[in-house]
Amino acid sequence: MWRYVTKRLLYLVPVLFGVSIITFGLINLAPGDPAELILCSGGVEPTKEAVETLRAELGLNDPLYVQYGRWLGKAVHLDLGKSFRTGRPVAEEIFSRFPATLELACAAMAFMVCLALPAGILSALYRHAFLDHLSRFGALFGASLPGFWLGLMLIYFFAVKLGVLPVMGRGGLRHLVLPAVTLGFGLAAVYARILRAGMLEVLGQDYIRVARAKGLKEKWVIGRHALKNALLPAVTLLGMSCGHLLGGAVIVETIFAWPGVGKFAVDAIFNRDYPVIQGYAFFMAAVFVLVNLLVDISYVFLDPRIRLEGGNSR
Amino acid sequence: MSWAPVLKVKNLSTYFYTRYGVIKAVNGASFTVAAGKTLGLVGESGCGKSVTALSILRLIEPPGRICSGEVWLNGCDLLKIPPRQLRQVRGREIALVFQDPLTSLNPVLTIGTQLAETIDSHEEISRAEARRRAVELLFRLGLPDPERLMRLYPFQLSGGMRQRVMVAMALALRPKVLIADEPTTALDVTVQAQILAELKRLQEELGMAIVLITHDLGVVAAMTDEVAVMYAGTIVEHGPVAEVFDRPAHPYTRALLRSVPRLGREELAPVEGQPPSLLNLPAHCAFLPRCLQAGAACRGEKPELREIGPGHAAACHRLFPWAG
Repeated sequence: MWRYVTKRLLYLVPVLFGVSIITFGLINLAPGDPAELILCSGGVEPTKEAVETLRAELGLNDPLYVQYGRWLGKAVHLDLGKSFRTGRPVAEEIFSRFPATLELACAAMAFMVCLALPAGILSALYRHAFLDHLSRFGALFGASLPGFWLGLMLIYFFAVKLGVLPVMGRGGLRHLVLPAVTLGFGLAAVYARILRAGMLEVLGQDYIRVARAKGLKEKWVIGRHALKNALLPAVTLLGMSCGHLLGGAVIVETIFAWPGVGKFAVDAIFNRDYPVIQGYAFFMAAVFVLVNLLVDISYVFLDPRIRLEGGNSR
Repeated sequence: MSWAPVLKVKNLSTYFYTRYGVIKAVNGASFTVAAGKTLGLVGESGCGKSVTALSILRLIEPPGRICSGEVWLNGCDLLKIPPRQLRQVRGREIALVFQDPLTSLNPVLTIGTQLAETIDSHEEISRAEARRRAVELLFRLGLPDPERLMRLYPFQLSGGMRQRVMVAMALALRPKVLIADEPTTALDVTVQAQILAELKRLQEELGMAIVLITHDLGVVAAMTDEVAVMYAGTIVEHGPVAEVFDRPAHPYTRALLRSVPRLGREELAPVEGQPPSLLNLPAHCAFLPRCLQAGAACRGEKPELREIGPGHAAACHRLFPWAG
């Protein structure tokens, strides 16, 4: 087990290296001069000399491989450079915003599970019945609704009309409800469908028939025999979703003025704040790899076949 | 019949309502099994043997439906009792062993969990006690190191061991009737013989009735007291195994027996033609298109089971004069 985890953590090195090269290339391919953008912020056209001075100061006149080498040399020491705009260290900026994103991601996930789990299971159990149609319609609805529209509607009803929840910003639990629901609803739609398909497949298996033939209570047949098997495909996908959520849900964070990393990254892209974009991509790659590692480990606990096969090769 | 039947299936019909039409998988099947006896249910693949087994336990899922019939066990009709009572009958009074032990065991639960839950879902005993009894059961089925086995998962066992576990699971609550649906088809011949011998031994020990579903006539001859031959969802011949094998009355039974390879006989005689589609069953005898003895009467209505000897019945219009 530990050998497996170590091996997976070592994968991080080539992944991060590749991601940093690609991001670096893409940033420099994109049009727009950061120096010009920084100087423009006052609304006054900067002089050529001023732009040149700033470019030299930021090191933008060096050849690309020198720029990349300089960045990489620092990144190895976990120094992701300083933001062109604020001058603060990029790592510090990302980590100060990450708790907000993590909080929102966890809340959205919790909401998703609360909605998708019962919807998926009931939908499969009462296949082609009213409950199934309702849940499938809900899933279709949820999957096709754009997040920004749902977010605005929720704000309109719950914050503006009813006034029961705050419109935006980060604060207590009440601030979390609307953005979490907006994010979680679309996800729940996808997972309810996956779970339904998984359950339907499992319910047709021989071992479910055997479990019923043994005279087990139906809640055991579903809860113990069917659900554990049906969860496997959903868990695989969960890694991807978690990664996306932790990357910051840009639209939702923007609508609700949620101070997370997603909004921060988008602002950086508009400002051509190279160190921040680079640092963000680097950080996200690490998050993706780590979350997927966690998912794979949880898979091991759900499916003994994987655990024991790994154990034999040890 | 001299002994009292413990399981009595009367006129059982199970249909599947598909978009192509109604598939009459079981179409008016009737048979009985006495305590301590074994009935062999034989027939080609797709003749409705397994659906019969599932129907007896009411395990048919949509689009299938049990349309009519009675299944009497212990004085109650299993097709009529409420689900709660049915759950108590399943596993405790009547148990099922399926064909493929790999798909019959849940891949993500240990053998111990699957065995113990069978016991403690029917009896008010502690988890530890259930596990102790599960170990005992595995031991009685001749499985080595049962304590260790309890902690293993199905994929870590061989086919023969898995089927022994399935048999142990089925017999955990000493049921009165065991329905074994081709319990040895997926196993190799030596393991098959061992499992069948163990079934026989446990039957004598527990005095239970067995319905052995198979297409292996050798197994029928070795294991069963009575045999029921199924064709296109109905029983076409029923009787003591020696009687049916020595004097097969129905042309299908005769053809089936001729198709068994024997030493000293060079050529095999397969049953010519294809089994009928269960989708559009004819009103007349379903075997008519393949029957070598068919006559004018066979194009009339479907023949009923008729007594033709002591405990021996067959459903055919032209049993005589060539029967016996």
